[in-house]
Amino acid sequence: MRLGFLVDLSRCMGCMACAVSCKAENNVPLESWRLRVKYIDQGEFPETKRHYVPLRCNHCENAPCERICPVSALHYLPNGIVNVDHDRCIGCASCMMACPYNAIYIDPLTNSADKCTYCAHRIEVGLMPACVVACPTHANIFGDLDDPESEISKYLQEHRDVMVRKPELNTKPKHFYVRGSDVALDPLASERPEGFTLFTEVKYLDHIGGH
Amino acid sequence: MLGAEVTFDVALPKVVWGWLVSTNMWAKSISTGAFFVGLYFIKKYPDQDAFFRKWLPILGIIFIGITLLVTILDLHHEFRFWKIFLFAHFTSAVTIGAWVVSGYVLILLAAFWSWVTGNRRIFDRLVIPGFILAFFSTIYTAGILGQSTGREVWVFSAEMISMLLSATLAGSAAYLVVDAIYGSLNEKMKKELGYILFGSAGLLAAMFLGELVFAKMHSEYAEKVVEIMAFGEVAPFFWGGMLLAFIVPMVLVGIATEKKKFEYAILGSLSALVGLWLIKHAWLIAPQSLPLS
Repeated sequence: MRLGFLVDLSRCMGCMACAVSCKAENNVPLESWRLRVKYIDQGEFPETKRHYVPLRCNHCENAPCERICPVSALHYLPNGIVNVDHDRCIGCASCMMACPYNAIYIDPLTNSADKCTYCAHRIEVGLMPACVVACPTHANIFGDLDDPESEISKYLQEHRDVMVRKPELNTKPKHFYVRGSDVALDPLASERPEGFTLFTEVKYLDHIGGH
Repeated sequence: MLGAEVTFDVALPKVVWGWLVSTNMWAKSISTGAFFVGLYFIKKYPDQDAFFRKWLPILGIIFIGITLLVTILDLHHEFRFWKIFLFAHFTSAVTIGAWVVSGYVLILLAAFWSWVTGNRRIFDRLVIPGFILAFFSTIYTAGILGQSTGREVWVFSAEMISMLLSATLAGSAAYLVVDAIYGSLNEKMKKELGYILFGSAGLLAAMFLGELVFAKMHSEYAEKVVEIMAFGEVAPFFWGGMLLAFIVPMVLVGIATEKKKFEYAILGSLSALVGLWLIKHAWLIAPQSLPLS
């Protein structure tokens, strides 16, 4: 079994139900995110378009975070999920340096690394990840990549525009996007102006997780 | 359609590895550099090696101590560092580094004991394992940076060479400073230390400047990092480091060795040590300033 995720970006309407349900399900602290939805505006009026991109851990088959973790706090589960053992973590943040998708954070409450686990605790008892359940448009498609009859496998077979983030890094992500674009998935394809943008102040946290 | 702009996102951590990690790399350069350079003089001048047999372990222990201290302070779980030995994951350069440095510390302690007791054979028997452990203690950080997939300019095979040259630069500078205070080196040895410092500074400067030119051809990410390093918020550290670590020491040490005015070498050495921290800090920070998602 190899569990994977696929987001049909044409269905995503940026409602953030996935991000909120993830926070509620996993007790994610206020300033941290396992799953977030980024908005990107493209073009000039009247030719404009808004892209919504849910971003979470890619559960790579060749995960740099698993490789660099000095104590195996980040480890593979038999179903392919890259899981975190919070009690094992020493908080060196190497995984944050290794992850090319910015998917890992240091939880400011536990001081351990944390990230999306595809809701491994729910999967264990036969439930879908919280974000899949909460999505009103079924943009999140989750399932077994090894099962040709699973919805995700069929989706992957039927669509020719399947994309992953940073394929050139050979991390072999198990998180796919369809009907996406470079603007949506390449962080350097869009500007990140400092200061107030349309909805919020896009800024960085200089100090996260202690120190 | 024209350009695109992020109009909504959450706040993201910017610099995760900061000055403690820069200090780790800097202090480790001095410690292992003191070992390499000291060993060279001990082997080359066996009749006049008292200075190096004394200061090799002292400098080595002090600065590897600083390295280990800042490493543990940088952990978010400082009191779990022991897990790296109990639950060692050997695909990680962090783990390999922890084990190698532990071995290197033992060698330094033995070298210190050798100096205290005057039993030269203790150190002489540990020269080969000591060299191997000092070598890998120097380069394992390049392994960590190399495993940091996505932090473009860190993933760079010549990083190993850069770390070794940083060590010889820092080691020779440290000995020149110690000699200025406790002076017992002869002119020939001072000159030779000056040449090592001069050569290391020149080669390192060429490597860093080369990165400015060549890294940006590698990918769009690398180009952005170089832009941040050369012209962005990290630029004062980078150019300050270039000036103090390489240019000033080369000029001052050049004058010192050629004109036999060794007081210039002290200033050049201090400048090299300060500049090395600045440039290591710039190198560490710049790739972290780039959005990854």
